Amino acid sequence: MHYAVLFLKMFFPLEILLIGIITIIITGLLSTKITQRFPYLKSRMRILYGYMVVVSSIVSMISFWYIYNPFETSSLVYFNTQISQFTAGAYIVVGIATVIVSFMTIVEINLDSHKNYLLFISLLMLEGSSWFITTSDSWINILFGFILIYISTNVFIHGIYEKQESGSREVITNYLTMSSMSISLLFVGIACLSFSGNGFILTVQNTTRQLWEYIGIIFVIISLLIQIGVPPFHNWYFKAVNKNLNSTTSILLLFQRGLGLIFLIKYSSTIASSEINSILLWLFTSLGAVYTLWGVFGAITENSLQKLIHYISLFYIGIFMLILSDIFSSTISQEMLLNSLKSVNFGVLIYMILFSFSLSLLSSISKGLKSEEISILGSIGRNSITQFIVNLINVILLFLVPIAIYIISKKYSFDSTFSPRMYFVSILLITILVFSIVYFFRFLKALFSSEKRYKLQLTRIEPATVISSIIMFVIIISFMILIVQILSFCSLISLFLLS
Amino acid sequence: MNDIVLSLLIQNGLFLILGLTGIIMGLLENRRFYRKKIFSSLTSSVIFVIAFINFSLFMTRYYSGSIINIKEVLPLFSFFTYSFELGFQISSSQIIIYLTLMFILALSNLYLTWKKPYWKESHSGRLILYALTLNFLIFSSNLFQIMSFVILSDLILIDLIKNLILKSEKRIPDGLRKMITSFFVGDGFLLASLIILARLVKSLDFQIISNNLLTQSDILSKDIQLILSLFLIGIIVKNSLYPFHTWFKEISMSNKDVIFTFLSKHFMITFSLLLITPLFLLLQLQVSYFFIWYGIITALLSVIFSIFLKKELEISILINTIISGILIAVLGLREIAIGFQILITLPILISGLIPYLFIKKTEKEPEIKETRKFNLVFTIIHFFSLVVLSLLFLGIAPLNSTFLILVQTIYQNTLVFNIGLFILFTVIMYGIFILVIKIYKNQIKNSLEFQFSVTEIVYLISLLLFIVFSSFLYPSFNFLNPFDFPLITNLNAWWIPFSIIISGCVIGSIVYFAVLRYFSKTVSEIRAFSTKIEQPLETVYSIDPVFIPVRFLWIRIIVPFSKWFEQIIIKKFLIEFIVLKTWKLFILTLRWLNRTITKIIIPRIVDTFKLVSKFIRKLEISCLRTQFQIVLISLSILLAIILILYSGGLI
Repeated sequence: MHYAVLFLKMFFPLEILLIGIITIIITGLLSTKITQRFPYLKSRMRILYGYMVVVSSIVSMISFWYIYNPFETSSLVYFNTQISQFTAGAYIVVGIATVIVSFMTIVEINLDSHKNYLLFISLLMLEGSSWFITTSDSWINILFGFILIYISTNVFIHGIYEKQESGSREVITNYLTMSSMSISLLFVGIACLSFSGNGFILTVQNTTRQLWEYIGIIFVIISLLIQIGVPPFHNWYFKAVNKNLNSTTSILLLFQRGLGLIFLIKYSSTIASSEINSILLWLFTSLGAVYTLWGVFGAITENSLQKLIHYISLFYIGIFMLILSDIFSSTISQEMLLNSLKSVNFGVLIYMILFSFSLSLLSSISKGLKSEEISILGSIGRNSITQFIVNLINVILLFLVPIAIYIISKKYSFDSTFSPRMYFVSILLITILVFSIVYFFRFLKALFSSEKRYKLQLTRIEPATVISSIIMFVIIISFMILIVQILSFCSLISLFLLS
Repeated sequence: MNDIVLSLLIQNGLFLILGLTGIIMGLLENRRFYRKKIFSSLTSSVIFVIAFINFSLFMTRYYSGSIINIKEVLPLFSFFTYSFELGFQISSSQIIIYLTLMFILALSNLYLTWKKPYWKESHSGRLILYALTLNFLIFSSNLFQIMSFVILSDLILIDLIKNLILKSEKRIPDGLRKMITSFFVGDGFLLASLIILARLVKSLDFQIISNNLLTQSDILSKDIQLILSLFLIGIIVKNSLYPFHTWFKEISMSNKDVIFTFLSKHFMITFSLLLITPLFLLLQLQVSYFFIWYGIITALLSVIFSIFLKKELEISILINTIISGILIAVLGLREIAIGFQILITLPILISGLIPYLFIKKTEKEPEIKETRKFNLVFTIIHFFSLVVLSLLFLGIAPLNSTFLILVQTIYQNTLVFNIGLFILFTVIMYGIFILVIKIYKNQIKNSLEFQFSVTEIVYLISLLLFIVFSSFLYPSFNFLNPFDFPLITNLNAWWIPFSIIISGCVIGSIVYFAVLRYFSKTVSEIRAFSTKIEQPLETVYSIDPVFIPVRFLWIRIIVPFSKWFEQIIIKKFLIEFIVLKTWKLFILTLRWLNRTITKIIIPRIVDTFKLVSKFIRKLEISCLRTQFQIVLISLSILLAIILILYSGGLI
């Protein structure tokens, strides 16, 4: 009886999500009858679904706090599952994303498509998948979580590109292929790890069959890199740039990427004590260097706004990789390790929120001006001053945040280590800073000088994106105000990862 | 707060209000004669009554024996050991100077109001503001205050004189410019000497300075000589003594009597700086020969000139110079007390001589002459005043102790040339005697024929009363004798020189009158000689040894040289040659650098980075197959590395 209560209590947020899913399914099945009975609901069913998603995800987030509070800082272990601050952070960020994407989905899909409830179900499933990925110690749960992401995103993309232009087919194929490949590689990796004698538990023990363990680690890392969509596996990610100037897909993929990064942090903190940590150290350092340079150099000449944002996001991921590479160092102190984990957690949370804000903002602008050239930013100031200020803040944050995160992470440790890697990283950072000023100035130049005259045309997409961008703006402001509390929260997360 | 200081403050407030009222009243166009008279009488009575109240307050305090020196200051700010303060310090010498000055100012204001039509309310207002600055100057307790108020009083006086001159001449004369320059040059010298004094003892406060001077034994005589000589130069420049004597005459050409009296009073203030500040302690430390010789030579020369010249203005200026010269010599002989007395009597004497020197000639109006009547009372007063003033001028003991200086020259042990000095002083005294006779010989004759007005009579009576008050009470009361004047008790000590001089004067006068009586031919020859010599002497007197060379230097040398310097050196060489050429070179190099950097270096760098960027963007691989291949290759490379390392036993 006790275990049953505990079980129910632990999975309470998931249960709420399940209730939401079941409600949407029932409503969707009965939609034809409902629309016959109430004809004016015919074009408004999507709104109903959307708000169901919003309500259930918000209630789920709140209930997460309800179950989490009794355990305070200690973690709750049951069914190979650990609930902690780490889960809380990821879950809340993904929950916010779900709310925003559901808002945007309401206005993206066709007016008369009252049978599109599967889209909304997939959103809730995506939120649920974060639970499995972040809480579990068991590889089976993690694989299940990734499969859940794969299914739900697939359903969503299918639904959203249902009756659209020819390019959409390519997007779907790319996504489908690369995601399935990632999952299969992950499966192979899990199998190798189980051969090594660790079973399906997410730990690294010194077993007799170490080679299998190393091969498994390589497979898992490769699969995660494909999942995240970083070079050289970035094809599918860049293909997802929408010709219709919608940003729902991009935001959804952004959250897939974010969940992948969160799992990467979790996994690298477990394999930090592995014997191939020197290889991993150089792997992560070189990956960080490549990604930062790639992102910055790509952003120098790119004119399409969405692609520019993607390149800048590569730069962010490179910075995260550089910070993460520190934890593989054998000479690292406990304090430094804590700092690195704290700052990379903080960085990922900031990354997800900031980029969803930027994507929704820029897509609303390009939708209104019917172009995605960078030069359209010049005509914002003529139409509305608030949009101009919000854009300016967005640009400044895009430029400043990665460097700031790196400085925070190296706050206590820059003086002690003088390894060749340190010189390499510092020279790299200076180079990146210089070149990132280029895209910063490109944004500023576009914002402050208008060469062409665009006419802002309000379409039906406008209000939802504006609402979402305003929500994001409020969240970013509150992040900046509560930055100390958030940093301490992230340090709790890293403490959990170290234990 | 002290009651004297309080009354001084009230007085200054009243002065300020009255002065501003006067100036504002002068701006109004509707002028009435009576309004002017009422206002001026009010100001004069205010000045005099409050001065007398202060004096009597000080007297009572002095006789009760409670306080001798009263000091109330408001500290403004301080700089190292120098503290800048504003306040009052009242000692017996200061209160006597104050009383005299206030009395003379009040009296002359009243006299001018009733007598002169061009004396307006605004002039009264300026005069009372001038008196206000004098209050702060006389009662100042530190060097900062004294110097600032000297300059302020100069400015107010310049304004007053400029106003008086421009009323009559409508243009700024040359003399005014000279006067302003000499005032400020003189102030500069005075300031320099006082600053050196302050640097020497490292304080601005008079009490501290005097204490240090009395206790400090290692003060070099060189420093003392430097301070005193700078001060003397300041006095010479500011008081229009030789060689700066010409502007006094030029400035006094219009409105003679008024400007003359004011300037002579102002000179007295400059002298009084010596006695207010602790400089007199320096004078007491050692004999200053340059003081003595300058004073005696100036006095001698001006006596000779004044005997032969005939114009009233020149004579009066020379009288002023004579007394100044004697004063300087006396101060150089360390006789501070006698100097103090001469200083007090100087403005009284000048004011008293004014009605006589600048008298209106009655010959031009014979009709009025007939109507005049002989008035016994007026004539008696007139004669009495003449006698007193001439005695004052001669320096007879209770009125003025100039004669006593002869005694001192005999008994000075330190002086090497004491007999020579004695002879020179005797000559000067004799010259003054002749001058007095010369002035009054015609004046008595004239003045018997015309009638003084009531104003003049009142003026003279009050002056005489003041002379009697100041000079007869001065040596006998101890409080009025701040510099220990030698009292006339030990007459037996100085009867020898006194008898010599008296006998000499008597013999000389007898000889003079005998010559007039019996050798009329020689007298007429001498008169002819004097008329002959008058013209060259006047030209000699009017030669300007300072301003003419300065002007010559300025017009012939400095201005052309500066123009040449400006045109050749600065414009052609510095600007056109050096600055413009280097600027051109600089601009050329800058342009070259700019061209190379902006058109060659930067575009190449930008192009290379753009190429890199485009290359990276091309790597958004369009084909799914290549993507697969890349995955497989990277996976196999990593696996190969792991396998190689594992088989090598490195991990």
